[in-house]
Amino acid sequence: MSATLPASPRGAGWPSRTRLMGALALALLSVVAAMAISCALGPQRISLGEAFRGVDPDASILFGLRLPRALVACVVGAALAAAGTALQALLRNPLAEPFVLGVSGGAALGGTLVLATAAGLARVAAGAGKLIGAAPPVAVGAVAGAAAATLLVFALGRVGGKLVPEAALLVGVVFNAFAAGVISLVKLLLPPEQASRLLYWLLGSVGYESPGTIAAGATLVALSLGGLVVLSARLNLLTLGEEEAASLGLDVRRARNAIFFAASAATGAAVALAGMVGFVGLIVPHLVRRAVGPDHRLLVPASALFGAAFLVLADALARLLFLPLGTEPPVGAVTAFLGGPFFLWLLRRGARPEVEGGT
Amino acid sequence: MSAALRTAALVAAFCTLGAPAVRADDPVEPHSRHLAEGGPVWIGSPPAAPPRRVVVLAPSLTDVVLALGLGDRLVGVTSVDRRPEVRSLPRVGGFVDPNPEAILGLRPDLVLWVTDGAAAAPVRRLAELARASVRPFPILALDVVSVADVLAAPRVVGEALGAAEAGQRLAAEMAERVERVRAEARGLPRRRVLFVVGRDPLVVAGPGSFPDELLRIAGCSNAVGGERPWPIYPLEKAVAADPDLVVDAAAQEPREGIARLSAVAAVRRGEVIRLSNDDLLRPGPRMIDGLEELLAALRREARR
Amino acid sequence: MKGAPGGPGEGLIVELRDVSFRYRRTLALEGVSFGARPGEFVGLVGPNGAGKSTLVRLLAGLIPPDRGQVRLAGLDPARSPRRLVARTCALVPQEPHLSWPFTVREAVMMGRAPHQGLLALPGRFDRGAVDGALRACDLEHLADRRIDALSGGERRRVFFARALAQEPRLLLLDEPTAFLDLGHQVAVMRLAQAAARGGLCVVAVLHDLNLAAAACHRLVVLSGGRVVAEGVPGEVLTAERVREVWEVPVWRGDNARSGAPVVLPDLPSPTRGG
Repeated sequence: MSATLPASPRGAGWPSRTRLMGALALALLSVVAAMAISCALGPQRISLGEAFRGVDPDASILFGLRLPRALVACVVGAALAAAGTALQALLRNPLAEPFVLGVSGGAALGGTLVLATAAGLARVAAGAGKLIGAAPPVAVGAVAGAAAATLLVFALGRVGGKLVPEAALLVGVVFNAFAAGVISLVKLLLPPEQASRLLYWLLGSVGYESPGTIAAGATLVALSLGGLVVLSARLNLLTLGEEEAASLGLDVRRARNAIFFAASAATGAAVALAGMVGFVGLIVPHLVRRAVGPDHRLLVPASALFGAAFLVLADALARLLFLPLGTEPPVGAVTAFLGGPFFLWLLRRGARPEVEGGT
Repeated sequence: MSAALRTAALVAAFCTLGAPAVRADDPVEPHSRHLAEGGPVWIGSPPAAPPRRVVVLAPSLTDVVLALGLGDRLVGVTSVDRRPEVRSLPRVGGFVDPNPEAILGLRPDLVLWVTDGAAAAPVRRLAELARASVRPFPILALDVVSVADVLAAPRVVGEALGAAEAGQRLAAEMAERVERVRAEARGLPRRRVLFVVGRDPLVVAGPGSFPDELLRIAGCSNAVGGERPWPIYPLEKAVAADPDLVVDAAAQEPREGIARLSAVAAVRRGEVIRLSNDDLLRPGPRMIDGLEELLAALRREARR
Repeated sequence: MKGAPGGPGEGLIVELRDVSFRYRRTLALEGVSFGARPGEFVGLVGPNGAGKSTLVRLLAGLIPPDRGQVRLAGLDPARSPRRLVARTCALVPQEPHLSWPFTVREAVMMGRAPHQGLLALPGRFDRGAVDGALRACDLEHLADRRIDALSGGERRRVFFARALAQEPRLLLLDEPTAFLDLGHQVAVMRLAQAAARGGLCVVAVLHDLNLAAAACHRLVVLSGGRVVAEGVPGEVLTAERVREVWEVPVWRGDNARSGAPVVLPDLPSPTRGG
């Protein structure tokens, strides 16, 4: 970042480096606070003191159920927010995010196909079927599906050879519909218990993953986030447009490929862990950008952290609201409930920071 | 090319991360040998003393426990359980999505579970936590798929609850009732039946479902073939199958709605047996009640 | 300072030899040859569709020629590593994209990208180059303003400064005066001249013939994808040529003070009529 000049008295300059570091620290704190809140909420009353002393069932509930759940929400929220930030930079449009662009749909489709293959194989060779239906291959399927969807959107979302954000968004919406159709078909072909398992996964719920699965997912997300942070300066250049970025020395194709692979990997891992959770990648980067500024070297990590806090809180909210009903809605429903209107509001505001030249 | 190979190798390595986690005899996964043949599966060690705090994760098992007269041992049921006897008990989530936290909070010493693919994840987690807990408790998984399994359930549950005798008696009584229905059905004409569970879309009971087996016990044959237990059936196929009789098991919906299927000759002729409840679909003691009701209805039809 | 068109490059920083390019079926450029030296301000003029923007993109290496050679200080810009090309040639596009509201300083700092590492952390030289560019473009007082809060003219200067911060040897300007008022147009042209004086080779696509004639050392006239004239403005811009190429009758005179040609369209006066 540039020298730490004080913000000019007239007109808004973005805050200095120390204040931005403060923003990151705040973000980290909010994650911790969100996780604490999430761990405190649930259908059972538990005593923290007892839990820490290892008394059951409080300890089991806190450390065996609530904490892993909060961790998964953390990982998924961070992944989706960072992926959303990257996709918005790539498309130069704040309406882009993994769910809207069909990347999540692709991930769901990839995972579904792997599950369907596992179910089919299970009839012939039970062992192979189980192996393929386990979490890591499903995750790989999800990542592959996410990458394929991104490729499709970026390949087809062009007008006259140039990437046009509106076209890409349209392709994404259409692809989502396509993926949903294929998933419905696959569901019909699956045996009923597999079908209901699939349905539950797709709804976007933070469920009961084993620590091993959480660790694997977290690793994948950490790797892709690391990649995105490293590429964040390139994201800054890409917001200028492909030709300008190229004239500033960026190998646009390689940078784009690396970024969308990282974004797809993050989305795929998120979908594999928690199904279709949407709009996190839309709401969080938008809000964070207003606070932290457009420099992606800070925006990417800040979005990731605030995304984690956001999803943990949304999940806690979902559980709190439905406590009296005795059931827990999928967190995907809550984010859609918040995100749908937000998306429409963004649309109406014409929130395209694209400014035409000229006075 | 080598970059692609390297990526493929990495992916394969990542996939095998899952291998240790998949045990061949994973108790939570459904088995090929169901309850009657293979017996129940204990996840965790069976209790030393008769359990006093039992959480039941399926309404059919609640039926069994109540039929054994051991309702006072129950401390938690699912939210889909409508038996008046358990009305005051806390709910631990749904059938497909039981809530491990709620279950743990009730401090059970036994959990009864009907193996269902969708609930495997929460139950697996619950099992892990139960095993690691200071006060571990077992989960008894009953794989109930056929009528034989339904008949075996009371014995298994009775044993688990320390009331083996009562369990045997109930099982014997239920088996006897089934045999009586089978014997009486021999005197009735053999009808081809279409068992309708949902009308729009048309969902019927196919091979492998409980109604399919029960129809055979009641001396009928299922007009529906194929492989799927609960297929969404094309109306044309139903018409072409031309069943002698239609059983309308959509008990929640109004009786007149069956007219939607008037393309089927049997419906036009009025040869419809309307079930008053969904007992035939619940794999527990109530199923036997439903079976007897079905037989009575078939007898009435035969006399017409 | 005349450049030697078509001849072997001596001291030439830009050299095109017999370059052709098609967009799908349409021929955009054919047989174009020219060269330019450091310190020269070359104006590319011609009617719409003559191929001027295509030429600029070829020079920047954004598209490869179908035929012929493009050389930038000896490099083939379309086939060389982009970082290397970006250190040699800076492009100020016609309509710069402005997606995110960076500050002026941040925007100009992005011009240092070809010299920076992966995370683009600014070093001493980077800061120096940015400060110099801001000073040259009279933007120091706006350094911390967001670019979407600036006027069009100010924004053009920001992108000019970004290009200067790249420390290139060739500066490409694609219609730098479009949509600007007279004051800003003159300001941009002055910047371009200053850059040329400072040793850069400046090649600019210009619509305004008078501005081009006044500011440039040399003009290259493109029409229908070919170079139809090249040389000092006074020789290139004759009334016949303008009428031929732009298909518009003009009156051509001389600016008494600078000696540059002045070209005015032959329109009937609104008051006198006819």
